Amino acid sequence: MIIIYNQLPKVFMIFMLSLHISHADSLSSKIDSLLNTSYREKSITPNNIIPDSIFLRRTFLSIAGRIPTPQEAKEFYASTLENKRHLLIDTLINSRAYSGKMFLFYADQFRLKTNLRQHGVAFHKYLYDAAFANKPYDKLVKDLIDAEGHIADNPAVGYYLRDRDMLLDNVSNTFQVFLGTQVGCAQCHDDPFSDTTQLDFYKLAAFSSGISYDVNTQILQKIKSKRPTGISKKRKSLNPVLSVFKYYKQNTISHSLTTNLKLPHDYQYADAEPNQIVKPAIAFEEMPHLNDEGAHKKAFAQWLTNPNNSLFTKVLANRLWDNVFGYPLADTLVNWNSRTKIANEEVLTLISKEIVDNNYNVRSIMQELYKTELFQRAPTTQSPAQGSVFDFHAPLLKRLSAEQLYDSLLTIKNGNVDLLKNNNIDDIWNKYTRLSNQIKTLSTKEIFDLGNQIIQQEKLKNKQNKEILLLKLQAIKATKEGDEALATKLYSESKILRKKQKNISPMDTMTSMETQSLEQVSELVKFASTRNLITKISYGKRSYEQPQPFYASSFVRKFGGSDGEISNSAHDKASITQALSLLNGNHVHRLTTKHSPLQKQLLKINSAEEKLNLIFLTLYSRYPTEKEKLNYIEYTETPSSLSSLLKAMFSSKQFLFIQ
Amino acid sequence: MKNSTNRMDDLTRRKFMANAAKTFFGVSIGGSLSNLYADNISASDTVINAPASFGKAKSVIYLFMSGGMSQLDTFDPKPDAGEAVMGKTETINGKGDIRLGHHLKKLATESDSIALIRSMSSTQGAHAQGRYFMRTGFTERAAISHPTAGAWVNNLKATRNENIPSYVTVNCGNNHPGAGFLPPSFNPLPVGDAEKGLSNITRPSLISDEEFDCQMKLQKQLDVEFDSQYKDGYRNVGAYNEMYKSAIKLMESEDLAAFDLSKESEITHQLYGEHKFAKGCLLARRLVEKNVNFIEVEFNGFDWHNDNFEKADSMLPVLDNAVSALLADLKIKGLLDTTLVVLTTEFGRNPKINKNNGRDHYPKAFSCMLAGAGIKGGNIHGQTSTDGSTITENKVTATDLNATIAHAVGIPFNMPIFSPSRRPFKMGGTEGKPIYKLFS
Repeated sequence: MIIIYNQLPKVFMIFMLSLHISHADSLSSKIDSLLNTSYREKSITPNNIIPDSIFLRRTFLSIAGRIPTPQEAKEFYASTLENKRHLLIDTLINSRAYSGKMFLFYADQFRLKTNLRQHGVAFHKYLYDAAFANKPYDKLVKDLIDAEGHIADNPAVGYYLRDRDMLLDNVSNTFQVFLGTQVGCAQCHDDPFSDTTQLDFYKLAAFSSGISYDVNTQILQKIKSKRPTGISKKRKSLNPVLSVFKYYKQNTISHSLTTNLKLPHDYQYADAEPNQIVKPAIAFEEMPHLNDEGAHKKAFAQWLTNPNNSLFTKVLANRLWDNVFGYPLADTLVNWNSRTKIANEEVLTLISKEIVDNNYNVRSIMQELYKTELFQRAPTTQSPAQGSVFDFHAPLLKRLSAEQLYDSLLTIKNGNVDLLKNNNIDDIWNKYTRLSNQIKTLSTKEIFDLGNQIIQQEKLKNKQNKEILLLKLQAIKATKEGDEALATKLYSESKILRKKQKNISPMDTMTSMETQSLEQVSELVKFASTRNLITKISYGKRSYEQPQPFYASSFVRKFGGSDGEISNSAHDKASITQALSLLNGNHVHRLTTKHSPLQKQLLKINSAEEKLNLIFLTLYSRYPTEKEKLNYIEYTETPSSLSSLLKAMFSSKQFLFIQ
Repeated sequence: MKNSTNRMDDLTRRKFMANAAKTFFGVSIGGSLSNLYADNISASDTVINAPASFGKAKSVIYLFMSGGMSQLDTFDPKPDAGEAVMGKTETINGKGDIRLGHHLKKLATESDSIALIRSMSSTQGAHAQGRYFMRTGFTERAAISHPTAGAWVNNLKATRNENIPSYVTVNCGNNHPGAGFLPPSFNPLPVGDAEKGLSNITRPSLISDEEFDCQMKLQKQLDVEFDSQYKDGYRNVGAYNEMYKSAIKLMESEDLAAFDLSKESEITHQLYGEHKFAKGCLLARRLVEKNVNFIEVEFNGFDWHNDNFEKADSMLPVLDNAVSALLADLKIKGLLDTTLVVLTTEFGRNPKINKNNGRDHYPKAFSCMLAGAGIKGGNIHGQTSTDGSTITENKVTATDLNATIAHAVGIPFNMPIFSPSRRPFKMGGTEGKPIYKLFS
């Protein structure tokens, strides 16, 4: 990371300085002044401003999602510029690492599962690109709600496909994420704790009722119209076509105006009849304008993201606030209702207005939140009671998120790797879109040829599967009869067959696809018969470069990384497995042995004090205090005592928490 | 008339009350207050009339079918409702009155050990909320996290093996409520993959005892100031001290082998099956042998909105195999009489098959299964209508199920425990009652 306070020409620095001086009317100053008023009114003393040593670590972790390298830390401490804190915020907020952090934020909210079927990676690409382009939030949401078409043309349809055939669940989630409203209960009955009735819920769901997850019929119609001579009109004869589009067609969202949503057959309330058709409507806000020509979901998307829909913007402001200060401004993130209490109504209104005026530019809002005095205050020593409103005399102490921890360990191991990209995800996606387009250009005859090719291969595979199963059954029988040798032999035979199966060449059978090379045909066969696009973890790269979510027994998941099942599922709760991982696991261990890069670096330093400085800069992003020097300097002597010190520091709370 | 608390298996009543008070008020109580509690409990007729089955269960194995298991294709088939409701699922006979979906062949042969509740009902139709409700007996609230049945059991029941955590979850996703508002020490030990067992359980090979002691000493020293500032104000800060303590205890435990499934014979592995869930069941049995109080195993993927019957074909044989193997295995080892096995889910599925050949969420009426620890086999509690759409007899809620677990384990389901915000909560919620009829 280039720290601009040291690298930029002086003229620019002065320009930047003047910008900040003239920024008395900036959002951050306005927030501070509102908070200061509230402190005076409530006779609250806000916490003190933190020293550089805490500010640096907090800022790097909050904005860039990792601790600084020793070099980055040294540069910050060496700088004598008065506004170096704001300059650091400006630098980090414009870095790739910040975009990566926002990608993870979206991934957790929208329950991204990169390796789900074929549309998972499409949705991953959409969210990743949106985060890195700082796409205006209202546009992003509109893209998702109004998405239609095939993933190769519009990867945003991944939002609907994520909940394939679970439209009502998708509707619940949409309301929870974008409007902070839990309507899930009303899916089955009137919600006794809010004003939402089951009928209200169905009226909301009716906006999306025309959605269909399959374009089977469209493709078939297209093919039928081009039926080559000699192919019978029977449905069975179209099997080759179906096998070509078997998985392709599962990645489309289409919308029809003629599909109606009906109430459930066991609807129990007096306000409507079971099975009655429900027309779209929004009970608790002003209705969007619907016309019969446009799709309802488009009207809904427009209504949802309209600046007049105050809840949409407030919910976003509240989430961003929570992300920066560790606690929401309202007493809830996801359960807004008429009884919701807000810590400071004026602040929320101000931020919401600023969001609208800034056209939902999330980065610029975040930048201002980081520039508040509040962000620079020492954390409160008493966390607010769950679900209460907080007076914000200080931000909260936070445990590092699982990803922050993963990325900080990575930074200690490999230095700053913010710019490294996981090409595997791009490669898989680019190949997929290329072949999707190619398949559309095939002539009808070529599609039939390709389909026959696939069918033959499937037959071969099925035959081999049966053989493999038979071998396994025989092996089990042999085990039961005590013939271990025979069992082992049979098992290994089944494995050989399995391996062979993976390498079937499509050219075992004929093809008449003149316009395609053998390689292309082979690629197309594989494309059409692949159900899931599996992207891989790329070690040595940041967490935001990885498929989401991490697998269940991974380091990140142990520390509470999102599971992609439920919106906002990431957590920071302590567990025994985390303690075991920090004490014994390889993620930490390899950074502390005498062969570790850090120990090797320490070997080159003669002075014990310098050694301790480097250790503290590397792990705690600060220099040791005099007392710490006294306490720990003796441990810099041998590689063994160094290991003990490093391990202790990694598992200490100063490392695990952000002050 | 017997006072049930006199029969609590490991703790005397007085010690038990004192423990509870210490945990929640942070104080030790003298005779007067503990008597007050005792009076409260003896005044409650539901406990006084408890049958002899009280406290038979030493351990609980809680199997959670995540996603919402179809009751129609498993424990409450409706042969008279025809294909519109049953689709491709046929009904088979078990012992007594038990009828099951045709995939549960092996469970049918074990059905003299199982009891069914066919009248489970919930008000929570979304996954997250449904899971929370079934696991805790409370609806999700912003202001408080409620404890799961496993945390309640461990809070109210003595630990029987100090070497190993007494609450273990296997393959449970995020958002597991765990200890809820109870102290973090009642959080479960989460095992991600039963086959892999516990990872990072041994010290890296080159670290000597001295080095490890030195490391732990340094860590404490580094934490002193931080703890003095934040430990009292942040539950999670103190929680890490607890977790390190438990981790070290576990590393030194003589019972670590309980987590190593490779110690089981090939035959046993085959009996349970190859699936992750099957391995979880096997691990649960090994942990029961080591006196772990509560083990939860999750089996996910039951959200069958489409292709219900294809999914039933692939998942229900796994369930059938693993659960019947677990019951048979516990029986052979003489553990079934002292182990309560509960199989439950967040909600059921709609009897009406949807246009995608799937079933949508249905919290109104669904089923769960119990076995062991005095549960009367072949017994059915509750009933649904011929088409499966409504409960016609003995509605049961999550709080009743939790109260039933409390009864089996021998702890009071209706003793108020105070949250840090000083509000009283009971394991059986405000209205839950044990279903005594399920026990013999």
